[in-house]
Amino acid sequence: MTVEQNVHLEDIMPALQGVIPTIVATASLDHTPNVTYISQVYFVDEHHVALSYQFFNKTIRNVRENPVLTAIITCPVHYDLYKLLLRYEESQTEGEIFDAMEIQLEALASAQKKEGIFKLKAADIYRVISIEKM
Amino acid sequence: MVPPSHVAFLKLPLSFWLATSSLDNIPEPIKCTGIKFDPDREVFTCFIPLRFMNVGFQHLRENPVIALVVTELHSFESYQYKGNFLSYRPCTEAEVDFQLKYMEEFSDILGSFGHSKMGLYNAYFKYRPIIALDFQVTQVFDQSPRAGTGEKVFA
Repeated sequence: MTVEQNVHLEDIMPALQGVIPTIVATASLDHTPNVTYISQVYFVDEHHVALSYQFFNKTIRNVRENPVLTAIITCPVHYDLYKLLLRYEESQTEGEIFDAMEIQLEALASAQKKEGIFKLKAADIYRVISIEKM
Repeated sequence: MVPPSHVAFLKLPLSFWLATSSLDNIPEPIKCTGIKFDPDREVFTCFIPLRFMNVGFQHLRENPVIALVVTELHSFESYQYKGNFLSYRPCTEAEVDFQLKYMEEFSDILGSFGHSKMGLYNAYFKYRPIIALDFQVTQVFDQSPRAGTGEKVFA
């Protein structure tokens, strides 16, 4: 897999605030793609982000068997699009990252009048393989 | 396979994203600037700026499987259609006009969330040329965000 890092996570912090939902694509081991929206891509450190895991759906099943995920995030200030290639590392169900994401998710749900639907099951931690400005 | 109720739903100004996968299972999301659905043949025609298709074309040469997610942004009602790539061609002028009408309506919805209508319009819709890509539906899934999401839809 090619590793390229033209853009750094710290450069795209506004796009990681959950203002505009993120599109994620995954693939199963039989090469079938899946695409969906997720609520949050949360900055963890310069090499990692956490994605909100809310439902046990096809995205989660795919990532557990094929850990590569591609996300499109949008900067809400300049509306630039970024493509992130990510590799799943672990799932956290408690701790600082989980708590912070849960609070942020509740705020997003409240703003969209969707309380109760946006329940965080886990914070899935991903290593950032590449970031590309589209 | 595609429920009759979807035919009207698919004419709304929804969000449309495709995805492809390489044979080494690297997925690629692709923005559509409009779709048309032919219920008789169960074929989607997806309009895509060519610049968003570089990786997608590489994938389709080795793996014809395509996923399309359609989402109504206020209700989050969402469906995923999976199927096989058939062909692509340049858009006609009439299809460009169709997309411009869709883009206007979709940008109004984005604007209702407080986003800059022109900002997002330019992010997605300013690129030319645009292709029309056909794929045959083989599976439909309900993807609305709730418990049980991901269930297969039966007509």
